[in-house]
Amino acid sequence: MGKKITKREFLKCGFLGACTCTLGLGKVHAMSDILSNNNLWKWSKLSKYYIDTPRGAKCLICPNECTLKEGEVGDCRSRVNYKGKIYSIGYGNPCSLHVDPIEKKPLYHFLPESKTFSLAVAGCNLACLNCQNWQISQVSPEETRNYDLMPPEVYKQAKHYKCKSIAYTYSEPIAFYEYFLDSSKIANENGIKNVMVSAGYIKEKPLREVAKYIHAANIDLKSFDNDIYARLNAGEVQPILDTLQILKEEGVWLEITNLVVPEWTDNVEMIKQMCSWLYKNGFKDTPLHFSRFTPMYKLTHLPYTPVSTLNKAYEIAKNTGLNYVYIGNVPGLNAQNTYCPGCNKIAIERKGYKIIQYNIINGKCKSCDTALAGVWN
Amino acid sequence: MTKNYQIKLVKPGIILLGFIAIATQIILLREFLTLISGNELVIGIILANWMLLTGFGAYLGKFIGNKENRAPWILTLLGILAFIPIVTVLILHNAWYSLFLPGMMAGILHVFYYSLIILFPFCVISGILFTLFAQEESVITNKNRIGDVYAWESFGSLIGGIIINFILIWISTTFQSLYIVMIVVVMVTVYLGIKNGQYLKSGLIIIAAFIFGYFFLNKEQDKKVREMAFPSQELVYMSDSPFGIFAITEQGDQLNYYENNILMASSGDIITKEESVHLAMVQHKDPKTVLVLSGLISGIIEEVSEYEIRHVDYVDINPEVFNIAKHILNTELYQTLNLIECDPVRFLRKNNNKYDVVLINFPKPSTIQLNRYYTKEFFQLLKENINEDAVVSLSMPSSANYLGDEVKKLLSIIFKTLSSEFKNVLIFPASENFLIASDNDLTYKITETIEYLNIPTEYVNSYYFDDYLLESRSKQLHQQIDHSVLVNQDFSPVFYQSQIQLWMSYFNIKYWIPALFILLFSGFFFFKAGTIYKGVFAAGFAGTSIEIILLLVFQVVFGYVYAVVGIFIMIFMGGLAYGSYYLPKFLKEIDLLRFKYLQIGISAFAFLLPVIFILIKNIEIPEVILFIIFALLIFVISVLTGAVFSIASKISQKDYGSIASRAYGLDLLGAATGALILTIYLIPLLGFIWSVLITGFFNLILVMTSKSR
Repeated sequence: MGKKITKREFLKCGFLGACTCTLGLGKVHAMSDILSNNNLWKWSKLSKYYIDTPRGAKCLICPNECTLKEGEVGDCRSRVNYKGKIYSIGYGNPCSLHVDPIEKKPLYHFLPESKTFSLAVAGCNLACLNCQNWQISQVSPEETRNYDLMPPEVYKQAKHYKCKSIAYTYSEPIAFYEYFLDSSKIANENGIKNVMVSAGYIKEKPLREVAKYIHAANIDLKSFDNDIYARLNAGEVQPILDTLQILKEEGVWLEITNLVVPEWTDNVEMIKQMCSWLYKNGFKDTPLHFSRFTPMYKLTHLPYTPVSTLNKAYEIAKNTGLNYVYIGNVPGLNAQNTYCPGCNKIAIERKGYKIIQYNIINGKCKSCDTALAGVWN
Repeated sequence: MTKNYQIKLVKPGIILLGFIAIATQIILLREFLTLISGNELVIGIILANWMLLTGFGAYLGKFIGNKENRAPWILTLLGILAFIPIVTVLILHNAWYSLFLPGMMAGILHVFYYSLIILFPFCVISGILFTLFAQEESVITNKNRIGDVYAWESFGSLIGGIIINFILIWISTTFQSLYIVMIVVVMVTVYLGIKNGQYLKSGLIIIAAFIFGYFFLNKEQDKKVREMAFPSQELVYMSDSPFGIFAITEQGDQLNYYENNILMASSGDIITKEESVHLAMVQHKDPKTVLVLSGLISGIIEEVSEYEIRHVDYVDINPEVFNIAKHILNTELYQTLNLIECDPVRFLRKNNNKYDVVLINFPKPSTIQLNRYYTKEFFQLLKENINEDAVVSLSMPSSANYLGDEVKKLLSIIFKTLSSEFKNVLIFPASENFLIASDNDLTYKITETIEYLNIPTEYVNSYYFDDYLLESRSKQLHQQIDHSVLVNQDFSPVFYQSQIQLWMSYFNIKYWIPALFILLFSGFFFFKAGTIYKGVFAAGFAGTSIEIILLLVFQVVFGYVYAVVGIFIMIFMGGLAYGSYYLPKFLKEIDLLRFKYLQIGISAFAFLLPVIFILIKNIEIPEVILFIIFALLIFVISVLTGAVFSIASKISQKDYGSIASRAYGLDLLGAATGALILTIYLIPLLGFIWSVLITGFFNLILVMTSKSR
């Protein structure tokens, strides 16, 4: 017969088990793969935006302001503290490269029907429960299969595929800021435009620097409530509103996307507040895209956004005074069309990613000569 | 108290305990699965917590009560137990929606901690009661009657299982079933209380029953609880069936269809229904006969009818889908449509029609049972039912803009499995990754063909799809396919394993982590236990593992039939009762040697099973004979498992409380370990045959290495 299990042993065992479980299931950040011969891998780049603090190196790219001790990785999973300095580890190693229609970003007022060369590096400074690209946004560049594509090569690829622009998209360009900045600079010098598709969760200085080289941006204003932003996305609203203002000031063509998630961001009052803020702060000519939610990632127990909810949001935005409002992810709606704010006639009739009617000449409505905001050529 | 009177107390009491335990387990598991996506790991964790807590309760039981006050303790705890299931279900739902974010999928740690806390009161009390009953019965008769108590409890479970699985689940809702169970337990407990002179307790139990009735009956508890899952949606239809809880909600102009709170479809989801149909239909030059497997509510039948179809067969296992179909399908569709309620595997075996296009819309293979629809054998069977130039379509989770490792593995396995039966397989990256297979040539010119055929579509057309970009993205995916993966087979469900890995990756959990935890936890108790209790652990492990394997293999060769699976579970409970009660009585002597013979018997049985499986797979056997063979196999393993428990308790030389608590605890721990290790690791990694052999080896090694005393 074996020994009797005492109460103490039983409790000890339970505790041990629980500890093992908790430890094992917790997130473990390691630098194993990105170090070779005690040097960071070739896709590393020293960050410009950090300061030393007594607690470690503090990253100043985004409002998360991660303070990293030696060997630690930031919330975005793509910045590490190596020998007291912060490096981006996603420089020149995108995991995703595709050619897309520009309307897919969505950008409806920027070089319509053109193709854009889309690229993404793994990592994101937010953690949205409904992320469509969670397989790249919620991991580090060391966990994805990547291409070797340094900044001088990016614009060449765009040219090769006859793309007028490069879109830094899918994951979050802020997380691979240095690569985004350098690629944009070189592309700009070589006649290729740059598009930032982002949640806009970035600090002023780095944003102003990169804004000089980017031509258009689609910023995802995910909600207008701090509590929802914190629980759904792990962020805050104000930094995104600041980003909108800065991009406008810097002359970047801007469009805004608002994903209407049932139970989370479909509150009519909140949508009214958001539209009202946009109107009052000079964004009445900034296109606003209400996008339909599809059950995704961790939010698979929610339904699709009803079209009636999207229509309601559309009406609110229009009634508030916003001139260009669209509904995305719902095929067959008229809310894909651009209407002239002067005569209310169709300026651009769209079906999917294609243009059926184009009634704009030199940036003005063919019918009433009203100037239509956008980068048309 | 006279001796006769006390026996009356114990026997109905322990049978009642078995009854309420199984009834509550079945109902609570269903309720948990409405909150949490039910893959094998989730089900395993909930059941493992159930067994661990019950085992813990059995351990505590030996410290509660003494010879004089054990009977009042039993009555008090039985009385409390009667009301716990209703309260548990209410707390289960209310706490969930208060604690967790709306619409969010629960992670593995959520499932573990939440089920541990929610199940704690019921399981611990039922465990305590087992030990109290075993002690009481043994003290009264002055004989070790722990094995008999185990048998009566199993008999109670048998009755509970029959009542729930064959009656209540078909005719009543969750709360109605809970009230019926409560009333039965209250009546028997009050009867026992009165017989025992416990009038005050009996009176209190009756008053409590009336209070519960007053507060909860006729208050539409079921509707209230279900509505919690759908805030800001109106619940317009709800049904409770053995296949799950089906709900339809209305939100704005949209209807949402849920099965166990998982969204199956939403009205107006043009993208899903068009992609599911047209990517495959355009591949056939003249589709006339179509087979649609599941997915009716997403609207795909209407989409199929855009083609000049002669005949559509729609097959689904869930009868509720057909009730819904009456309300949502256009009557004109019935001219060509034939609705068939059947397990698809069973349908394909008996079907005589041949099809041009097969549209597969099963849920993803999150359980071993669903894995049956994605195997080489399934596609072989499908090929027998299709024409030479037929096209088959199914979909896998989207890889969006990057093919993650888990989705890559999933895609590679299904690609390789389909390629083993079809000459051509193409992957179309759309809202999901659609795999189209055929022996004929396939094309990327989707929109060109649709426009040529003049099929009216809202989404699958050149406005949204660019054939060139689609081809380019598809080729990127094809380049990334890993050809070294295994083909998914009935007896080797590797596909299901990668679906579990994908689910775990949502929460940044490595596949092997739960195994480490299970082995450490179980291993600690196992190595601490003596020879006899190690045997009980091993028998619990083997009994449960072999039962699960037999149920799964039966479904592979026979197809899924709810009632048959229910009958098999009842046979297992009956076998446990029979084995623990009668088998020891046949033996002239009960000693460690005979105990070891029984363990060797379990191993021998496990070694015999692969031979039987191979024979069954390769020889055509009439269904009745097949049913009898599996019923016998399940009966034999359950009799052996029950007998091991009973004999172990008889040859242990401890006080009754210690024997009952240890034997019961280790039996349950072994069963929990078996269920988890087998379904999450052994079967997906090694397949059924090796899994059953390892179970046999585990028993055999234990017999060979254990000391004779």
